[in-house]
Amino acid sequence: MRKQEVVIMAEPGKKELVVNLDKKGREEEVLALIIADQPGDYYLKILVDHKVGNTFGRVMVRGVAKNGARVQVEGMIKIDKEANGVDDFLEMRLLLLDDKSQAVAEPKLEIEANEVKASHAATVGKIDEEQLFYLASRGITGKEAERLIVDGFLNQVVDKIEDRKIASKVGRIRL
Amino acid sequence: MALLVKGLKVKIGNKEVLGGVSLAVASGEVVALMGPNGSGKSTLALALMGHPSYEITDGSVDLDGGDMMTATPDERSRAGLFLAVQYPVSIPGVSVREALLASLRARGESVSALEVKKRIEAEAAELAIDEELLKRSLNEGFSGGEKKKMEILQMRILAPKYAILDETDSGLDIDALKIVATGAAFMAKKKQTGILVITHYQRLLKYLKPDRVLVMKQGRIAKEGGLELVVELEKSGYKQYE
Amino acid sequence: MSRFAKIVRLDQNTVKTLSETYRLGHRDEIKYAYRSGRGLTEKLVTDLSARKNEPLWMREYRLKAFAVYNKMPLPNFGGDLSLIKWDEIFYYLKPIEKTGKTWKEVPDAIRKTFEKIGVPQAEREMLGGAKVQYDSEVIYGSLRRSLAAKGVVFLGMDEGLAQYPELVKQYFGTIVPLSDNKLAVLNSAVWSGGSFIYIPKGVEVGLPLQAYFRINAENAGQFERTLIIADEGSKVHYVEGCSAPAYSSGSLHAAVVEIIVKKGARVQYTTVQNWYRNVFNLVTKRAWVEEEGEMRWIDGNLGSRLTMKYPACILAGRKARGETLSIAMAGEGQHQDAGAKMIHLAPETTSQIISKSISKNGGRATYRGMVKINKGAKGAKSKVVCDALILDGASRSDTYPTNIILENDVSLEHEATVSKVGEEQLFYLMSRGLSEHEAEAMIVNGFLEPVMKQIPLEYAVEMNRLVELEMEGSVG
Repeated sequence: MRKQEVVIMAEPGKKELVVNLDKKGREEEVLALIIADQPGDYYLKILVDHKVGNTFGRVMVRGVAKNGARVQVEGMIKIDKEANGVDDFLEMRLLLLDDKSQAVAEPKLEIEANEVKASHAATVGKIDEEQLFYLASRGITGKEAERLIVDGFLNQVVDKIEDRKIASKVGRIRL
Repeated sequence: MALLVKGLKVKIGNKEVLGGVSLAVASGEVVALMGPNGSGKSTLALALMGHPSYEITDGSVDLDGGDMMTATPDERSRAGLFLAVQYPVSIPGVSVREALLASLRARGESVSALEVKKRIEAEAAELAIDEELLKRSLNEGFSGGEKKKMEILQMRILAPKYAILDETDSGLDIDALKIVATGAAFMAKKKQTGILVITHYQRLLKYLKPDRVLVMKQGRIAKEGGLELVVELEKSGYKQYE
Repeated sequence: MSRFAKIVRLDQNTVKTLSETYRLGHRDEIKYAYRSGRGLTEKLVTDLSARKNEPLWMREYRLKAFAVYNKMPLPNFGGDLSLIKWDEIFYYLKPIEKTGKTWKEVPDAIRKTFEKIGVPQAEREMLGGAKVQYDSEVIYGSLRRSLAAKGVVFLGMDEGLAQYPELVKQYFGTIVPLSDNKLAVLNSAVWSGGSFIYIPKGVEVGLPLQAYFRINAENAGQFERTLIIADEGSKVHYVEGCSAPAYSSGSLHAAVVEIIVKKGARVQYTTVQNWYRNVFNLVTKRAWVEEEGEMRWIDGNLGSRLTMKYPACILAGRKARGETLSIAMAGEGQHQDAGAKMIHLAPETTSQIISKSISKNGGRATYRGMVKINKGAKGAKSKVVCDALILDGASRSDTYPTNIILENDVSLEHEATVSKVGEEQLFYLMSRGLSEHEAEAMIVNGFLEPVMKQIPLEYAVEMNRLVELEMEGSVG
């Protein structure tokens, strides 16, 4: 039974989420979207704390920033000493769409048990030139191309959202 | 001289998966073990090699008169048993040369790194394995077929007394299949290696002809015969063994 | 406990205690030429400078550092520094009156220790030059004539200050200033020994230059200061090793290394750190890299009770490249808090950080890193890979990376994995005849391979041996 938490940040501000996995067999997935298109600081902090073993966690954060937005994401996976049999993966990917945007990515791990599978990945950068070239070769350029790519980028998280009401709400927030 | 298995019962966790398997593989003999998915073929292979997840609850395993029941996997290897696994795991940072050199030295053979390198290159050429793969981390990023061929390369260099090939044919195209089969057949005929070839399909057995054929059903040997069994299976499939 | 062992293989004889596996734990009973009292005072700093006959500007620099030191707080991150007994440390210990130019000039007891370590042999066979420091002073140094003829300078830092005062003054304290961190500031006040290296334009030094640091006295403080200037287009590889006796009380090693890599120059700095388990190893290492220059830090941390070390590169010129490849092994009672810092100031700069850590027997391995890409550093690329192996349930692994990206036309990739030695991997290698212990050692070796292969063979062999010894100390 996998529980899902969806976090959407579309305004500057601070959001903190703590996931406590304190019962064996608990599985939780956190899906986070940051759509930062206003000047200001967007700060997201996520902590997944595996207090007992045989727990499962997945965190997927995707963010896009422009217009002077400054995005900071801090994601921590913590596995306590007795928590064996844990499987966790945290991923944060941030796209900087113009030269006024900035990002700070801090994927952290504190692991005290050893029968675990824990990893994380983070990427920060601008839109891939290869993708732009591909779309240009199909006649799609400029704002249109950017929109397609950003949509695709964010949809990788949106597609995983099980609650259709939340998913459609995201659909209405678009750059 | 034989690999003798008598009344082997194996359980995984709380479930009994093998309910009393008996078979024998003599030196230089090729024995085919077939059966539908889930019949316990791989379980038998891994249990014979001493994999810790498989608990032997009854029976005996004997290699040339030596009791293997309490031996660790490395002791079984040094006693002359080889298992070409179905899903070769990758060992980052370790090349096939390093692994083989360590295996040979572990059993007291004093070989130089250069000798091993030459032997490996010769085998790789015969097995049509790209030389590039010899330098990379063992099995890392290899295709299924390349992994299987690498298992056979290791078998040829370790020259075991008895070799168990666990679904070595899966993932191989027809050319690779012929090479692997010929390689194994050579070991049986010229080096007297007793081979237990586990396979779901009949293709491989066209090129690695078995002396005897066993068919498994739900954790036991259900039928024993010769090549005619293979023909029969080819015609009517595994339905009666499900 | 092993899943593969059916018989318990342990008995009192096979379990090696930690001090037994440390080969270099003996101490030399020598008469010191000079020992300061315990603790740090302004008088000690003034005296120290006077004894060394330093120019006035250096004495003033030291005193300024002392003043800043007293006001600065300790770092609020990393390991537990509360265990350091600052007032019991000897901040200056001079073993002999002058530096020897041949091994014959070095007192027997000291020379024997270095023979055991292997320095004279290495020097004969494969080094371009060697400097050896014993507690606070460089007691022996050599440089191949062919290199000296090309204008290569390899001196102890004290000699460097005396012979090249202008050059030292130009760069000393510019890369690690007095505002940096308390341990670096401490070093700035009481530094003694270390290396001064200058490589002229276009000169490529083919053989490594080696420095070896040995602590001998109990409660000693070793504060070497190294300054390396690689002029345009030059190339040099500097290697440092270290060890200390097996005392019950702790020593402090707080070194500062500043490196200037000028246009197109290439510098590699390899460290094999093997301090005894009671040494506090708090080091500041930083390189300033100019256009098209390349700096590579190879950091092997095997010993010490606590190491805090983050070799850094300031990529100041276009297309400058920085790399930190590090291996950390944290065993019983050890905390390796290590990592790297890469600061991209210019366009098209690239950086790579590879960190491989192993924690066992309750040890703690921490990766702490920072990648900062400043506005204007267009086209910068950075890749960070941190992998950790936790060998048992008593040990711990942490990863604390900070990636600050202020420019959008860049690419940053970071990945980290924590795992244990896989059962399937163990089974696979054991089924090929390796014992469980041999299989584990091979897997650990394979884990470290991406960093090990960047280390020259002789040092890699030594590191591998040390890793093996560490692995032998573990049970099961």
